[in-house]
Amino acid sequence: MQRCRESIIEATQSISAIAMQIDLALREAEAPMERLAETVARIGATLAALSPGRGESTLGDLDLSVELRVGRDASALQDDYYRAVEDLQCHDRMVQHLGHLRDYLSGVSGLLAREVGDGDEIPATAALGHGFEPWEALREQLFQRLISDAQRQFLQMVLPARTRERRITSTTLAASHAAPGSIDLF
Amino acid sequence: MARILAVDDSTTMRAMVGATLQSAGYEVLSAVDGQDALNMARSGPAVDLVITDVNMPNMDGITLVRELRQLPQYRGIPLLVLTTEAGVDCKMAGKQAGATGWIVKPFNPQSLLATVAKVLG
Repeated sequence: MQRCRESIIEATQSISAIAMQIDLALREAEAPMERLAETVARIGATLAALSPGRGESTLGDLDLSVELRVGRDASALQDDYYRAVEDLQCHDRMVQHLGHLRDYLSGVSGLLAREVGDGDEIPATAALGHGFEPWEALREQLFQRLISDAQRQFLQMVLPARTRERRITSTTLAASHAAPGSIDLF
Repeated sequence: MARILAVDDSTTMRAMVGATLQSAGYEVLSAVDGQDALNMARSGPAVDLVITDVNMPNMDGITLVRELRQLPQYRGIPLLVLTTEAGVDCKMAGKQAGATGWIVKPFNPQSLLATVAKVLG
């Protein structure tokens, strides 16, 4: 009964951590989405200004000042395009983050079923061991898969590692994750 | 101009990587996962560079790199990994599999083009 109660507490804490990570995933996407909206609006305005039929000459008889402006606007458009490509990737990052949370939730669910169920081993969780250690192993797996410092720090805050060894591992890993956008040639 | 194979299960990512590379004049082929890319490598046209994601269904990017390095025509070509995975263990696994470089998403298009130009020599 004691083990069952402890497992329910572990699962509850894990699910709270997942809920907070989902909230973080949404907040992490806010800034790039706002920038993306601004960039798209700016691209639209630049294109509108470039289009003929607004009291200016057509592309066939551009004077020098218009040609210069077109060149400058084309360069601005390319810069905005690059910004949009970078910010649009927040969707891919969010999908990856949520995928890791889904895997963690699946692990928590399997472990809980094993701990409070009829004693049958669930294959996916059988290798994790018994006691609080399997919960810790699941948490560590998630920690290693998280994709930003904020996500890792948040997990450490709401679901801290409990063994000294894992606390050290988590600290080391937090310092050794590559930064988003970084490039490392081997 | 060089031909590049871009591998990602995300349609959006394939489109963005493809458009970025095409804007610099590269010819771009795409594959939806590691297995698709491996099939293309075995029977499709030769490519000069592969850029692959890691987390994909059917075959992940690290396995793809390992498998490609077994093919004689892919032993010497650069294989870049473009992924959200930033952990040192995963990166080391990629390096050991034979990856040429590791780029953490979100990628900056100008930096990606500079890296591509660099590895293509």
